[in-house]
Amino acid sequence: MIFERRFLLGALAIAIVFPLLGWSEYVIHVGVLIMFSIMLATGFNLIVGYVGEFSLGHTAFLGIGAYTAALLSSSLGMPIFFNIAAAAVVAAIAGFFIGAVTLRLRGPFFVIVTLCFAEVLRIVANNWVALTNGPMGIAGIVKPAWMAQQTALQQKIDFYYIGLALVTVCVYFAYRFVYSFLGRAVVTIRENRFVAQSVGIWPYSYSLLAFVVASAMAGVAGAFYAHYVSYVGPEVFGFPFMISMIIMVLLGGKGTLIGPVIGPVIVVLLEEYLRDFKDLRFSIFGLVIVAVVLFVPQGLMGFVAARREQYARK
Amino acid sequence: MDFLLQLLANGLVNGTFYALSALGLTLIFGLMRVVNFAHGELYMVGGLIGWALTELVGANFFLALLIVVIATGAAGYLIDRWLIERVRNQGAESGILLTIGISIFLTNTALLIVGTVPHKVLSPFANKPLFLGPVVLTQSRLSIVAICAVLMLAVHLLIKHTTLGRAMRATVQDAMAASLVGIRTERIHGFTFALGTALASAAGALLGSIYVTQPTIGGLVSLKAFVVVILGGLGSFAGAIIGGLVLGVAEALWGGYFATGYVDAIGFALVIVMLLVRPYGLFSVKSERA
Amino acid sequence: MLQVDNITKNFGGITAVADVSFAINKGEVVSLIGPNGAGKTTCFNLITGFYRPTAGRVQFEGTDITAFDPHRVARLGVVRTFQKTNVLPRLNVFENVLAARHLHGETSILRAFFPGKAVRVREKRVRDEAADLIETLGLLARIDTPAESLSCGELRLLEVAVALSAGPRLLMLDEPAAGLNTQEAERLADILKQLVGTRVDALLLVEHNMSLVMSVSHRVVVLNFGRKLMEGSPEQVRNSAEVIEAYLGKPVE
Ligand SMILES: Nc1ncnc2c1ncn2[C@@H]1O[C@H](COP(=O)(O)OP(=O)(O)OP(=O)(O)O)[C@@H](O)[C@H]1O
Ligand SMILES: [Mg+2]
Repeated sequence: MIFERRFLLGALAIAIVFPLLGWSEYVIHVGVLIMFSIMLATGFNLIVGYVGEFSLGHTAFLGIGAYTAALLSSSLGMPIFFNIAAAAVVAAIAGFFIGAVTLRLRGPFFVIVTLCFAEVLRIVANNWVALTNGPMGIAGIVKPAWMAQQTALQQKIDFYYIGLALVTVCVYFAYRFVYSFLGRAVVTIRENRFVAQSVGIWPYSYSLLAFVVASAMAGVAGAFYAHYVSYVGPEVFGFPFMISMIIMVLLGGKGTLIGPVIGPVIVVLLEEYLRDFKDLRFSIFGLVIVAVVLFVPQGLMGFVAARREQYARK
Repeated sequence: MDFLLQLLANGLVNGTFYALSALGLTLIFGLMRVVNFAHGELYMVGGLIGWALTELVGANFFLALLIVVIATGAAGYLIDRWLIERVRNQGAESGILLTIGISIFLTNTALLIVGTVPHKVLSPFANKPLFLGPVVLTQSRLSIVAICAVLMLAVHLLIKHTTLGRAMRATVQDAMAASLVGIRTERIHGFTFALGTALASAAGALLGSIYVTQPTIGGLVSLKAFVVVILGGLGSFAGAIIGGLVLGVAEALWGGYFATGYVDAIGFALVIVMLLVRPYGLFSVKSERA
Repeated sequence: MLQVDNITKNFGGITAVADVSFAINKGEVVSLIGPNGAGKTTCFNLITGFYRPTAGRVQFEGTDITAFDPHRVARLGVVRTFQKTNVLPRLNVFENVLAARHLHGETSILRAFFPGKAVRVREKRVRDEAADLIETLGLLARIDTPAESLSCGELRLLEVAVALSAGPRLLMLDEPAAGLNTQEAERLADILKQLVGTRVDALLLVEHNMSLVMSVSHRVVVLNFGRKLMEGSPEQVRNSAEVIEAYLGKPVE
């Protein structure tokens, strides 16, 4: 707990200072991608790492958040921060309903059915042309007004700091969730569902709460992404986003708060580095997943930073 | 009325294909408790090998099918012994992730080798229409349906009535007890995965003569196969067949009478609706022990 | 306190529990005994909501809890242990006991995300209570040890601690002495005797260790093949020909 808090605060300090070092536009862009990924991974980890159920449909909420922001911005001209908040709320509501249905299942059933939900949404986004503009997607989401006069670099830096602020909020909520009776309850459910019930914990309700919080975070990430790339298409519901989320959380260490912070850093950098390998990089990615599962199943932080509690003796 | 009959016929034919392409998945789950996310990619590999052999090498369709079964079966055995064996008994999640990794690798490696162009397996069956009363079906589809039926029957007999099949079933029920009576469970797991792999790629090669095969179809095939096995009950052989037929007919009816755009969503919608009614599938008994 | 009326449970063809009734009063230690497969664990599962009875009724302090979910039964103050594992193996002793204290540490969701002083004070109290309980059971030296590395005797104590930590009024233990040697079992018996009246109102025990059963129970209920064979004081049960027969089989004539 103490270690995790110090690590996260230290990382925050570094992240605040980072853009001041005179980097190129490209480097800041990579930083923005990392921020986006951390939001996503932090939420996803609440389900995979703490509740211990494996969702393959978390992109549903990423997409819902992205489309919410895109629609609010393009048809109503609402400002970015309003859209992000609205995306969080809409994604949380969707998370409540989808979670309420899917969390009745466990194991492989949960895995496949969450995936089904994301697929249904992708198909809807593809076909409901009147609302989503179909496969064309929604383009031209306007940048915030204050950015109008800025250089491209300054715009990216602004997005970086918006991203960092959102990451801070997400990680704060995740931290509070994990180190409160909520985290204790979901870890109990993860470790032994029967014992959890026998001491009065209702697994369904706590799993659902974690699911809703995770959905809200994915919604925030989606809205942030929509404004940053100023375009949203059906592929936000697609499996590739899901794969990156999985690798990030797994590599970093599921069931830790630090894992979903360093996982995205490594994976985004790796992805950028592997760009030189062109198409081969996706093949390499597949092998990386296999290697992680075989050789570091706990993730890099799994042993160091799993949720631990000790009694402070007087 | 004739239109309805035609739709039903199309649905049943497609449903048989769905059933076949889901069989390997349900088998591997039923006998190994592994959810194989590389299932669709193994199907794709079967289709591409079938295409390469019939189109590029000029091999006979049935010979090609045999080679596909043997080659991918052997590959499946090795995948199990080298990779899956290491995460056995570590919960469903490791197996899922491992096979996701394999699926990404297969898709993208296939893309590197053959590119994005769709290919077709050459089959000896003509595309000639056959008129069965008011219903029209092509000769090729009917032939493939017949082969599907033979294949399913063969697998059923293999599992129910051979020593190997009995060993497979014993291993999934209680691996410890099975190994105590002298069954080499690691090999049996390997054979089971090989059988599932061979089935997936046989389906790919067969159906590759009707639809097209390309490296990126794996995801869609996996998804449909998931729908089929969830509808029928994960791990149930009969369930996969029923699930396939239900999906095929539902899609045909929806496509015929309503919007074609949402056809691919029908299966998922069915799964979600069924979930609310019978959470663990039509053919499975949920049992849990405290 | 607890009133079990004619509960029956069928699993497909087999009847695991048939028409069993008994009651537990405040201040009592009642033992449920019977040969393997007699239906003792199934009775536990029926009382605590893990299984739904095919027929019959369970009441706790006048409330019909027959159709309650397990967590609601626990909330009312009926907490059971499991025959297999009753701990969170990867967590340490303190975390185990703390986790089980869930009902005492709950706050509103808003308070969880924005804790104030009240929450911190309460959290501190819950932690102190957990540590206190660990001390009572003599596990203080092992407080930071993961449950999976405890010895069998310590593990059994931790299981009792976990159940107690939930704050039960009626505590139900399923074979708490399994795997213990005589000395350890006697120590457990001492602890169990002290529990009733101090930490819990009543105790229901399933146990195969007869000397433990005889030394702690006020009343014994005997099951055989899912049916209630008899009920009585430890002496009555010990001297009953029926019970001896159920355990050892019919003497050859
Ligand atoms: N979930 C279940 N499904 C099917 N049968 C069950 C189930 N649970 C218990 N049984 C059966 O019910 C009978 C009673 O089992 P139970 O576990 O209650 O016995 P027990 O008295 O606790 O025995 P032991 O002393 O060995 O723990 C057994 O025949 C068992 O096989
Ligand atoms: Mg028992």
